[in-house]
Amino acid sequence: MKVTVKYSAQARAATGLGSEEIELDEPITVHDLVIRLARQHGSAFRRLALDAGGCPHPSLLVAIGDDQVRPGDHRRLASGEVVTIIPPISGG
Amino acid sequence: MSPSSTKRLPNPRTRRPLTAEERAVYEWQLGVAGFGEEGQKALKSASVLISRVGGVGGAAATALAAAGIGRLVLAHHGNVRSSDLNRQTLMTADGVGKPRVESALRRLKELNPRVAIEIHNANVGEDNVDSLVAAADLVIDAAPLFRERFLLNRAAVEQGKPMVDSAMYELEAQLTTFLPGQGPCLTCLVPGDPPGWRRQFPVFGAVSTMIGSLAAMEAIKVLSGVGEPLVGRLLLADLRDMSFRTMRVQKDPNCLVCRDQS
Repeated sequence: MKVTVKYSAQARAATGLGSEEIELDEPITVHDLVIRLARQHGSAFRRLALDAGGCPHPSLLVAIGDDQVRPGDHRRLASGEVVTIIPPISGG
Repeated sequence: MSPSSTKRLPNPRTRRPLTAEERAVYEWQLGVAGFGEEGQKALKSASVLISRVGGVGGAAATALAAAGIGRLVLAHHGNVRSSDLNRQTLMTADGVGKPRVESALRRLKELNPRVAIEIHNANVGEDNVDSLVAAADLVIDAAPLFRERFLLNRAAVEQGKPMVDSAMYELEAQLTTFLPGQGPCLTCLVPGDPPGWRRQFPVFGAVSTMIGSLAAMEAIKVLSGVGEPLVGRLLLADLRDMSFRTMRVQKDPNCLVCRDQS
C-alpha cells in the first residue's frame, strides 16, 4: 500500500521535499509513520518531528486529508491517504 | 454562530453612529451583503490589539485602519532595522533606527486619521499581557516568538476575547481564529515550544502582507458578524503553487489553558 506525505514549512526545508509517496508493507499508525519518516530523513527533520524520548513531538501538527490528528495517534493509515506534516510557524 | 451577539463584542445597542463623512469614506464596503451600516458601526465601536506590527501585524493594522476600525492597540518593541523593510510595510527607510510603533502610528494616521491608535513600545510579556488584552475587543497574534503567543492565548482565553492567529514561512502561511468556548485555542494545537523554531526565518513581504490582510478580514468578520470565521479550521496557503486549503483542527480536552472553558 502507498500513502502520500506532504511536507510544510520547515519540514519541507529539512527534507528537501514538497511531498513523497511512501510504500508500506502493511498499514501503520500515524505515530509509527512519523517515527519512520524521522529515521528516513536527516537530523534536521528528526529534530522537528521527535521529542527527546524519540516519540512524535506533541507540537507537530499532522493532518490526514483535511483533518488534524495528534502526532502520536494510533489510528492505522489506509492506502491512498494523504498525510501532511506541519511544524508550527509564527508571524514576524 | 453569531459572534456579534456575544458579550465579547460591541453591543449592537451601544454601537457608535456613522457620520456623513464616514459613510462617504466607507461607501465601497457598506455595499457588502451582510455587512452594511450595522457592520460599519460595529467596526467603529470596536478595538483590536495587534501583537507586533511587523510584516504580518503591519498589514493587518493597515487593512483594519482602512476599514474604519474604531481603535487599534499596537504593541511592538524596538527600532526599525534595515532588514525589516522587505516586509514591514508600515516602516520606511528614513525611519531606520527609530521606534517601529511611532512609524506605524504615523503611517496609519496618514491613511485614516479617524482611527484612535494607542502604541506601546513593548512586546507582550508577563507584565503587560493582561492589560493589553483587556484594552481590546479582539486580539491579532502576529508575533514571531511562541512565548509571547502563549501568553496572549492564555490571556485571551481567560478574558473571553477572540484571537486571530497568523503565521508564515518562506512562501507558506497559516491562519486561524480562536473563539473561547467554540473550538480549540493555540495551546490545543501547539501545547509547547515547537523544536527548531527560530526568531528569524525566510519569508517574502508579499507573503506577510497577504496573510496579514487575511487576518484583518477575520477580525472584521468576527467583529461585524459577516461571513464565517476560521473557527476550528486552519488555513494553509502555499504561494508556490497558489494552493489554499483548510484543515479541521480539534480542541484538546486536556488542554491546560482552555479545558475548563465552556
